[in-house]
Amino acid sequence: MTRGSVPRTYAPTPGSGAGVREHWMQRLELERELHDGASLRLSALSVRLGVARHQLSAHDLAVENLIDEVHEELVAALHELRRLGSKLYPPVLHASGLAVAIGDVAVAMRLPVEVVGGAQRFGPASEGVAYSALVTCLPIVCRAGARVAVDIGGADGELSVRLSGGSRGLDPDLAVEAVDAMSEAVAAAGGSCEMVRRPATEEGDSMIVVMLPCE
Amino acid sequence: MRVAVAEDLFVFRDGLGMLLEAAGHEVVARAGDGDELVAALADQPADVSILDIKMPPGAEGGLTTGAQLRADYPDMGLLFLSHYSELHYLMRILGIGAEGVGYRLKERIASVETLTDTLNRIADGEVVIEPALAKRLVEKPRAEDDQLASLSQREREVLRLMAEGRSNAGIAGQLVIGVKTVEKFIAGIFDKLELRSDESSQNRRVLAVLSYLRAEQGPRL
Repeated sequence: MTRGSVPRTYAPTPGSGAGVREHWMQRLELERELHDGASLRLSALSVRLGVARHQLSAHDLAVENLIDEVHEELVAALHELRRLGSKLYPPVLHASGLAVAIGDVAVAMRLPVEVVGGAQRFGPASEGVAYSALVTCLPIVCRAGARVAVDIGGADGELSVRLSGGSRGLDPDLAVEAVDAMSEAVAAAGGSCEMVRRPATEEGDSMIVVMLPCE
Repeated sequence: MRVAVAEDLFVFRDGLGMLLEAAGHEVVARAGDGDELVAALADQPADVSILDIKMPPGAEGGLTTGAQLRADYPDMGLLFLSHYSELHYLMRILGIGAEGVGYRLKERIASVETLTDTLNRIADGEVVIEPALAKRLVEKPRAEDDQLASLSQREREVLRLMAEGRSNAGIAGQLVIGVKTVEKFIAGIFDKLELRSDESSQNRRVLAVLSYLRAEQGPRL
């Protein structure tokens, strides 16, 4: 029997949830502050720099080059702020929800992922935890090379994510590894994750189910 | 060129107005949100409207206003600006229009030359996409049965430049090859991506990018 043929289940950590929710709300707040403050100021500054460059009274190559260098530095600073902001709380997750955000990050990470899910929203903290968990586990389950389906839904105050691998299911060993990798963070948020087999199958038709409470 | 601007952040709107005037364009409207822009355009026509995506009304008022403007003024170009280059914004913009639209990062149009080039191309009906985003789109390989994987390296380079909204002549200039050769590559891309010949050339250019996105994004398209 392979290690992967043993289903894995992780239950919520007792008393968990509130601290994690506060943590994710703080991350979202910090990302918003970065965007609404420094980033927008720098964007506006870049345009004014463009005006200044155009209004140079005489053709002065040295000053033009200097302004170009300052502009490139501005662009680089904005890029770094974006990266930092995305690590705190992905703007696309806040603006458009989990399904869109996972679709975008899968493209960025070059993962063969198909996302199924509508525009339903589950609250910033639950979506933050789910996003982080999926970014951890998707590269693992995608190692098998086949397309992975991510089905996002929710009912009765819970966010559910189901990962499956088409007709053959997820690779069981990789599914177990993925569940192990994200279990601690999901449990700390009051959620659960498990590797299960579809009914009436013995091997190879594994899927992962993640459940998280919504705010 | 007559240009209308809608941006809720005053300091950026003001700077953009100055940059447009420095480039020799006529700024016919400076609006603080989408509704203000719609009202201004009723009196003052524009060749291109520049819209911040994240401005009122709503969280993404630039997109909703852009869709309304495309319905009301089909010939007016639309340039959407954002602080982020995101795939889902691009898809929504291409849903608003497959001709005469653009999507650029705010700091990337901050020179007279780039801004004017972007506006001219949009006014000419081209689709102008932030180059880094266009590059990301066409370099992403798919796992299985990949139509894009059947493209040659040269065809992928041509597709990347198409995704940036460049004309055949523009692509020829970039790759230092003849326009006829570019047309041959593009015919090969359309063929491999199974884009029907009864579509207009411009539509097929956009569909070449969309076919990739559709495969990646599944039913959300």
